[in-house]
Amino acid sequence: MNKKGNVLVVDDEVSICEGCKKILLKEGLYVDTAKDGLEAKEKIEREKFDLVLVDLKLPQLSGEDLLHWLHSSNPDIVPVVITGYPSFNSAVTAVKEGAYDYIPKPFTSGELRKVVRRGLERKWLIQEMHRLREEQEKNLKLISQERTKLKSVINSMGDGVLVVNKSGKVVLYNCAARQILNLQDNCLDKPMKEVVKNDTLTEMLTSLLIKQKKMAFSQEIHIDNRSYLANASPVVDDGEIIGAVASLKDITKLRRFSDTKSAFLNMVSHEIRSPLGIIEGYLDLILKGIAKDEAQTKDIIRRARVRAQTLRQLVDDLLNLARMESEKVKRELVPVDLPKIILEVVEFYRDKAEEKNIKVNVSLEKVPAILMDRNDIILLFTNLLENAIKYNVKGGSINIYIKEEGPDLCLRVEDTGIGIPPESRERIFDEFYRVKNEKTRRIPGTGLGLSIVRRIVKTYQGKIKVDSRKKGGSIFSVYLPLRNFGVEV
Amino acid sequence: MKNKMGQKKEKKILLIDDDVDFVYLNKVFLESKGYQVIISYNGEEGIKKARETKPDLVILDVMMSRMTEGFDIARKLRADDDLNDIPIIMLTAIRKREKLPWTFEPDDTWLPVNRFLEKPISLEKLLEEIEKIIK
Repeated sequence: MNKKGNVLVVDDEVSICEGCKKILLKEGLYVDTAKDGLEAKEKIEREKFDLVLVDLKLPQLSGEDLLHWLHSSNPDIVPVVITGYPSFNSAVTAVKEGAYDYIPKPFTSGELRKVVRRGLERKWLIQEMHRLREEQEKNLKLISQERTKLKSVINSMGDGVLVVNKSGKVVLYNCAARQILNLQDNCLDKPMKEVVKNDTLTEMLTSLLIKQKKMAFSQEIHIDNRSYLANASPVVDDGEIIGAVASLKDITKLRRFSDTKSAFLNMVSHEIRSPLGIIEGYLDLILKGIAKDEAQTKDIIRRARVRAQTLRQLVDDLLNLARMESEKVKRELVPVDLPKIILEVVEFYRDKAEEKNIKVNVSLEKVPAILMDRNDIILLFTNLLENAIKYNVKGGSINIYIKEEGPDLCLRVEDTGIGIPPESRERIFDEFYRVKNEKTRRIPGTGLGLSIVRRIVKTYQGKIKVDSRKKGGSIFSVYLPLRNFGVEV
Repeated sequence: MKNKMGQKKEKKILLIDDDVDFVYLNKVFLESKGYQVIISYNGEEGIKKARETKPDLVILDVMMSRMTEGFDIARKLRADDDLNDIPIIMLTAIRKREKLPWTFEPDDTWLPVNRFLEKPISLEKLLEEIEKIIK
């Protein structure tokens, strides 16, 4: 085998074969010879040749037949016909049928070299062409694979993607976009205004195409009760806008969250504004000297003070809520001796209870310590106890129990107060909800106490229950699972 | 002071609002301006007191034990042959609180009041509005 080329010379005249071999060997080629068509066939089947020189007049298998066979079974081999004058016509026929070239006998070594060189060059060209074609096919396959991959990626995206061309026709969209925009089948090549039912979105894209602005912009759009952040950007190629692409991000949750926050802020503003208005009014009464006498002046100041106090309590409650909302809040979980804390808090509120002549009974069983943040448990119990005093009747009583109940630690606060109407029981834990009736009218409150209690209970995966006492009054029961937060004593 | 406003001494104002401080505050103030002030902390009682006292003006809150209690009371007052000529000033914090996009305008069919004002309102401003209606 030879890198420059392998040549087979087929001729029944040995002198021709040998002559050719000698000349071509000098060219640095590998050369073999065959004296008839059959031998040539055998050799071609055994070895690899690039070029075959064939005499048309051969014994056994004729040159034409050999050429024919070559053409069908070894099209890569370049056939060159050797011919004498008498068979010149058949040489022309052979060329017509697929021989690449011919060389008439007798020929000079120069003519032979020239024909063979030309033939081999052709062979290399064909080979190169094949290689290029293969490479191109491989590249095309890669590209189509890449395209498929890209398409899969775009289709797997959670965000919707919609692309339109310069004339506003849809050229690409993914599954999410189809779902979000409720697109019918086969929207490709259709004007987006026909298939996209959201005017805001189509206007966004159109404005990019019309104004030829190379700037992306975003806008919130609403489809079927959901909110999306639509981002429109121009598709720029070679400095020219050739289309526009929109991405749609579902921000429904964020929108709801933000709306809740706004509503809350709104409520807070109201809850602050009203008492401030009242306090201002009271101060006006005093400034203008409107009070009838000193007793009324004092009454006015006392009332203003209660509202100011409630306002401060509101701010404290809001700060507590904010503390609980913040994910960053680090609770310091320590084994808490609940009975001890209860007794401390009760002691703190002793004077307030005595003002209304309320008896506070504490019944404490020995219970396991529980892992809690001290601030949380104090805040929780303080709110329950304050309510039990605030909404109690004069001369009433409060019973506080702590005991193990099944898997939970139960803290129960019973009062003999005004109770909670059944229709309000669900709502008393809502922010700013207060029972409004004759009995509660004069009792100041922020409407946040129980919502703080509920949040704390939730933090410790507990439960809170409210019941009414038969003789009037409320029972608040807090259950804290010992399984999660109990501590072995 | 009362003598100066002597001619207004007969005028009766019925104040219906469940905020005890708002009621107290305005009662003290309006009394000092020579009005007779009758108070009620809820709508139904307010209607009863309107029948008993025949006030010259009703000042009515919207959100009491129910969100729209004031609206219902206003309509009931207007539907009552004995009471339907009493002017009503309606006060509310409802718009600011609920962040409603529209403003209320008094309307004969669904909001039959003479004046619709937002809370909080200063003593002087309320007095000014009262004087516009009852001289």
